[in-house]
Order: sequence, then C-alpha cells, then structure tokens
Amino acid sequence: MQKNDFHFKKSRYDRPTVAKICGLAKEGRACDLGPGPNGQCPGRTQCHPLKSGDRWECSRPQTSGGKCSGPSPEGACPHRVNCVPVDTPRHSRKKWILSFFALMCATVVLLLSTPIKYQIISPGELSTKHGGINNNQCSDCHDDAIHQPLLILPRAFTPTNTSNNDKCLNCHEMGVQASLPHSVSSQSLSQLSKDIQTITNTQVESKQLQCTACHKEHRGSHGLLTEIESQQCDSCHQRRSTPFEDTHPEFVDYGVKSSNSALTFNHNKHFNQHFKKEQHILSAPQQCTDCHQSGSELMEVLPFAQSCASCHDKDVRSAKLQQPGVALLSLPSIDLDSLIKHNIHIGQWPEDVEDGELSALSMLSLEQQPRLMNLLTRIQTGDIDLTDLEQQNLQDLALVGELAWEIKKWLHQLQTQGHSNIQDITESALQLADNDPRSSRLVAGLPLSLVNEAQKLWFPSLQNELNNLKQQRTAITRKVTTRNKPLSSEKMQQGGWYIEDFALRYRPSGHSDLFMKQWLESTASAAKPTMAVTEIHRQLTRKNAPGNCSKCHALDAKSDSTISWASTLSDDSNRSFTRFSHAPHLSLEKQCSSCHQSSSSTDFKAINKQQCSSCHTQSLAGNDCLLCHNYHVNDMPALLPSTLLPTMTPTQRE
Amino acid sequence: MIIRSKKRLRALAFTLFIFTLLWALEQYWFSFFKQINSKWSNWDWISGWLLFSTLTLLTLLNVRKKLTFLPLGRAYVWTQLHIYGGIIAMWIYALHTQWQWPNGFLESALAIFFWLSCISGIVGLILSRSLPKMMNARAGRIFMARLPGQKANLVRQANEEVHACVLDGGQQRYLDFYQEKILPYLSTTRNIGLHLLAARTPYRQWNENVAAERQFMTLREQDSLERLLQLVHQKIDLDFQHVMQTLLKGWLFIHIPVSFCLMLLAVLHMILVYSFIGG
Repeated sequence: MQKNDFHFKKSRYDRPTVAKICGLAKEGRACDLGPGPNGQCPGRTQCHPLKSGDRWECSRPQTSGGKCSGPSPEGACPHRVNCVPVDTPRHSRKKWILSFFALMCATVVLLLSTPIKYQIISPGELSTKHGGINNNQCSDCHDDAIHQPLLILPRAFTPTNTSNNDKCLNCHEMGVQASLPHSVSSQSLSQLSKDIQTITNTQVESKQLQCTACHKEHRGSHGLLTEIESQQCDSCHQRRSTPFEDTHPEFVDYGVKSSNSALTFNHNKHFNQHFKKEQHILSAPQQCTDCHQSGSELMEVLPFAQSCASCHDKDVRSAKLQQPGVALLSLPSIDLDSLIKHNIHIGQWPEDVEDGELSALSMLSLEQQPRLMNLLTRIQTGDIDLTDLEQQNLQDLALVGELAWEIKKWLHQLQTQGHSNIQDITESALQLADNDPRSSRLVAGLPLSLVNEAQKLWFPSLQNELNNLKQQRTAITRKVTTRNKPLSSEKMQQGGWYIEDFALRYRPSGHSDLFMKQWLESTASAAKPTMAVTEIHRQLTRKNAPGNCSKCHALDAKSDSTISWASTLSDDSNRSFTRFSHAPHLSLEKQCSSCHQSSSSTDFKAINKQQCSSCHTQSLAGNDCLLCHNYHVNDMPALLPSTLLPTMTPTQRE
Repeated sequence: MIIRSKKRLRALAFTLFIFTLLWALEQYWFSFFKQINSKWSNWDWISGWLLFSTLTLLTLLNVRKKLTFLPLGRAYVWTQLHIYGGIIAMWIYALHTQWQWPNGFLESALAIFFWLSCISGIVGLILSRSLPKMMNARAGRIFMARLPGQKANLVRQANEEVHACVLDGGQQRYLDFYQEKILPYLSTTRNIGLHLLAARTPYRQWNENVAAERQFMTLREQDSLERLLQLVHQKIDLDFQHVMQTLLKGWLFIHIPVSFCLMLLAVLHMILVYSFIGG
C-alpha cells in the first residue's frame, strides 16, 4: 500500500486547510496547482513548458506522470486541465457547523418571538402553591417591565439592589420586619436567641434578606418551597450546622419541664406519692397515654374529665375540703357594744355573726367610697380589728359606722339595681369597657331572690333604716337575731349561689367554671389593680381556695398577667424556634421513658444531646437544622381580600 | 486501569484535586462567606460563572487551532487542558444544577446540549486514543484527502494488469471474475460495518474467493490474479483507513456545533437570570 510519502517527486503538496481541492483528486489525477484563491478551477495546463535554447521542454512533475511527448512548437502545453473543485473535509465541517449554528440562532429568535416565549424561558413550572396566582404571568411575581422583551437585555446589565419581597408580601403577611432575619426585629432576635449568642453572627441581625434566598420557585409543580438546606443557616450562624452531633450546642434543661405544658404539675410527686396512696390506686393512671393524647405531636394532656377528674373533681367542687364558696357580699363581725357605747348608730346588725370577715369582693364595692380607703387598708393590715373596737378612737368608730352603712347600702343597691350594680363596680375596678361580656360572667347569674332573702334575714328593716338615714334620722344600733337557718354549703355540691354564714357565696359548679375563670383572669390582667382587686386575686389563688384553680393553672410565665388555662401552650402570635413531634418518635417502639426519665429532684431528667444524636445523623434520621427548628418564628396569616357582602353595594353604603 | 504515563498520572491527580476542591467549595461555601445576600454567598452564582468560564476556556481550543502563528502554547497542551477542563466542567455542572434535571424548556435544552457536547467529547476522546493505534497496526496513516486518489490509482493499476493479461491470452472467465467481482469492489467503499469492528474478515473472504477461482485459470491468469489480490488487500486497507478516519473526524461534526449552540444558550440563560433576579 502506498504510504504517506513526503517528497516532491513522490507526493503532491497537500493543503488540508484550504477550502477547496481539485475535483480530479478523487480520480487520482489532481492538478498540482489546485483551485484558485476564489475556489474556482482556473482551467490551467498540466505544466508551463520551459524553453531550453530554441526548444520548448515539458516541465510536468513526476507525480503527474513526468515529461510528456512535448509542448507545441509555440511552447503551449497540450494537456489542459478542467474540473469542478470540491470542498476539503475541514471546509465541509466548517460549513456544517455554521449552518447548524445559524439554524439554532434562527430557532431561538423564532421561539422568542412567539406568544409562548415566556413559557419557553421559564426555568420551570411553579409549585402548586403558586400555580394559580392571578393570570400566571411573570409580572405576578417579577417586575412588570419584564414583559417588555426589549428591556430584558438592558435589565441584565443594570445592577439592581431592589428587593423583590414586595410582591411576596402582597399575599404573605409577615409583619413589618418581614425582610429581617427570622422576620423579627433585631432586638427581638437578640432576645429570642440570647441563649445561643455564641453561635450567632450578630452582625447580620439587621440585614435585609430576600424571600428567594431560601424559597426557590420554578422547581416544578411538586417543588417544595420550604426545602432549605442546612448550609443556608451557616450564612449567619457561626457554628456549622452539620453534623448535628458535633456542632450543635448542648441542650440546657431540655425536657426537665415540658416546654409545652402550661399546667403546674409535678410528675415525680404524682408517681411516687399520690398514685401510691390507697385511695388512688384504683383510679391512678397506669400508663402515660392514660393522661396524654397518644400519637399526637405534643402529647397534649387529655381533657380534665379523662385525665384528672377521677382524683381532682371533688377538689374543684370544694366538696371534699368542706370549705365555703367565694363570698360576694359578707357581713363582718363588728364589736356592736363599743359602737353603742360611743353612740355610733348603724341600725340593725346581726348579733350572731361569728368570725365574719369583710369579703374581698365586698371591698371592691366599698373602695368606691374614698373616705373608707384608709379604714379598709387598716382593716386589711390588721391595724383595726372590727370585732374589738374598744380601744379605737371616736373617729375610727365613726368610720366603722360608715362602713356598716355602706355595706347595707350596697345590699340595698343590689336589690334595687340588680346585676347592673355589680357590673358597674367591676367595670370600674377592673377597667372593663361598658357592656363588656366579661362583666356578665363576673356576675354569674346571681339570683336576686337570694339577695332579697339575705336582706330579710340580716336586715329586716333595711328600707326603713335607709329612709331614716336619708332624712337624717338616727337609726339606733340594735342587735338582731336571724330567724332562719340558711342553706348549708354541704348541700351545694353541684355549685351555684347560696347564703351561708352571713355571706352571699358562690361555689364552682365544676371544672372550667366561668365565674372562677373570669375573676381570676380579670384580677390577674387588671391594668391598675386596687387593693381589693389584689386581695381578690390573692384569695382566689391561695391554697385550698374555692375550685383550687391555681393549684394547676398558674400565671403564664411569659406574660405574667394571664392564666394558663390550656394544658399546652398555644401562643398564636409566635412560633418557637424549636419544634418536636412525639408521634414519629413513639412509632420507633420506644417508650416515653426512653427519653423522659424520672428524677427525684425535678419533674424529669434533662434530655441531653446524645439521646437525639444517636439517631439524628445524616444517614439515619437526618440532621438538617429545619428538622427541629423553625425559621419564621412569627405568625404567618394569609392576607384575605376584603369582600363586601352582596347585601349592599359600595355606592349604597356611601 | 494501568496508568503508564507519569504526565497522565499527574494530570489525573490534578483533576482529582480540582474535583475535591470544587466539592469542598460547594459544601462549605456558606461557611466561607458569611455575608448573606452577598452574591459571593450564592453558590448558584459562583458555580454558574465558574461553569461559563470553563466552557469559554474549552471553546478557546478551537481558536488556538486557528491562530497557529501566535505563540499560545503547544496544541498538545491545549488539547490536554480541553480534556481535563471538560471533565471538570461536567462536575461543576452537576454541582450547579445540584444533580437534578432542570424543569424549564430552555434550561432543559441547555442541559441536552451540554450533555450532548460532553458525550460527543468523551466519544471523541476514546476514538482519538484508540483508533490511531488500530490504524498504525493495520496499514499506517494516510491523509484522508489522498484516499480517493489512491483508490483511483488501485483501479488504474488493476485495469492495466487485466489489460496485459488479456493480451497474453486471458480467458473470458478471468475477465468476468474481474469485471463482476474485483472491479466493483475496487471502485466503491465496502465492508464499512466490518471495518468499524476492525475485523479481518474481508481479507479472508477475498483469499477464499480467489483460491476458489484459481483452479479454473491458466498459469498466466493465476499469476495475474495473485497481483489483483494484492491490489484488493490494499483496497481493504484503504477502506479501513477511510472508515477509521471518517470516525476520527466525524465526531467533531457533532461536538463542535453542539458546543457552539451550548454557548449560545448559556449566554441566553445568563441574560435571563440577570434580568429576572432583580425582581
């Protein structure tokens, strides 16, 4: 076979980089000179004869056959060459590439000129969450100018620092600090993260962030907008997020007291003391799910009737302790002899009032009289003992007389004005608005017949006495003896209003009694609590108070002015940074005690990081930050468009 | 795989180092750049520009080949850079797209062109590493432009041989065998499939055909037939060269235009990203 010979006598001079070669090359007789610069065959002869003396000699090279029989006498070569030059492989490739590229450019331009151009340039379908936004146009979320194709190219070269959060916030209410880290103010963030300052880059707390920094759209209809990688947390947090077992700070008293429980409840005492008592053995729970909702996220406490009532229902109804109910109006024991001795006239007063005390609720009414404030304070502090007024001066005795008259007047007002009297007093003392529905709960349907009965029992001539007082006639102090034995509290086990021991009393009707709840809430949240309000709250929350509410429902640790009624904390306005769901953990055939181990000193032993990190690795249960942490800690309600009811058009309304 | 060349070992080690470096960058990028909202903390932005720069560098190989008169380094070095740069580009692309196939039409087209370019490049690399050895082992290398001339030369030589034999008393059977079997074979490219497999079957087939025919020939004809068989063997070698060289150059007919289109779509992608990213 003929190899590549590179010799002027054996091979032609190949020009693979030129565009055209001689068309006769495929026949093995390409001309030596090849096509011209324009790629056309010049129609040359095979050689240019050379003149040697007076003779013309052929100069055809060996590669083309060597010397021929000779040129014409005029020196012209007789072998003329004509061909159609052909493309070299390299030139063919170049033409193919240019054609392909031109076709591609044309296709792109054509597609971008069609009405479906935005579908073409879209980086992917929107998630189903955003799939139905308005007209599904780019400008629903992007700048309106994006719909002008001629502006797209200049926009690409125009640096922009504008945030595109505005269009997100048109639908998502994230508060005024929406663009700040965790959507809370830098001050709030500092407060919320004070325990982990060591891992937080405080320099970024006031940085403005874009929603799209974390929430990536156009990932298809099933794209997860909240799918965020742990590395993104590292943008601000100094300590690396993963691996969890190495970098996460140790837990601080986590699980010692359930962070979601709002009840005052000591598991340890119940396990080791109460449940072991003979009277509770049968009713005591046998397992955690007897009191906690099985499989729920937070293992919420079951309703009172299912969890606590078997032991505590009698406590709530005050029957077990045989203690009196809450006194609304009560007559104090007064040293009538001292009053008579010093001619202080208070009219009739029951002489058999024994150990009668001025109820806190009565003080609420008496506080309306500024003159009595000093006396009430002294009674409260024990400076004056109403049952022994012998040592008191005349001025104090006169005040005691006034106090007695005010109690009588209030009883009379209760008779004549009814519930509105109590409502006026509570609205004034507790700073409630007029007709506040809470004030009706504070009355709890006090039967006026009971008030009338009390008046007949305690002050049979009350109306006459008050008329005399109005006409400035003297109503001599007289001891009276009550005629009827009032209803005993022991017979009021199901609760309600009754008269006992010269007092109008209320006994809670059971768990969640509205009267008790409202008085506790109102007195706890009073903006400017008076002495009476403070005393009412103290009496309602003391040990063995009616209903024993505060035994389990204490003041909320965060607000300090609201009572934690629910068994779990349900702060609607804020989410916690940390979340935990019991359900998936309990499905691992683990018991509650796997994590919550009983402790003698505290409710439960603190859960340490090791208990979580043994499973929460990247290869097992995962160790992403957002597995246990929330990014947005504020509430995120959807904005609802204001829609007028069809009953009236805007014009009619105007 | 046994790595015989120290140079290749070094290059492979360097590529692995780049791989590891890029992976580490992707994994720890947010730790390096704490300034959130800064474009430096945006891995998509970093990997996108890194990918585009790499693709541009890869495209420059074609420019380097055009600018032979400039001292831009040896073409061999550029080719090696192109190969390893291509492998690195695939890694960057995977990191840029987070190992996911894009959703959009344009970006899907971009992905298709990218992987077409990569696959054609890998095929080209394999061909350019394996075929020359096979060609050297069979018949050396010949300029592709000379192949048609050499084939025509074989036909001419065969015609001359047959003409001489007929003048010396060659019979009709000899002439028919030449005209029906040998001449058509010499005139066109044959056994493309077998040559793609580098099979030696054509040699064996022709040896058997000629051996079968020889028993009916005179000594003069047998002598001529032997020379014609040598020409046929040369033709088989030329066909093999033709097929191999077509493969060697043919993959570029896909790789280069696809790469150019890839660059076009990449630029379009960048324009759109920068247009929409501001809001």
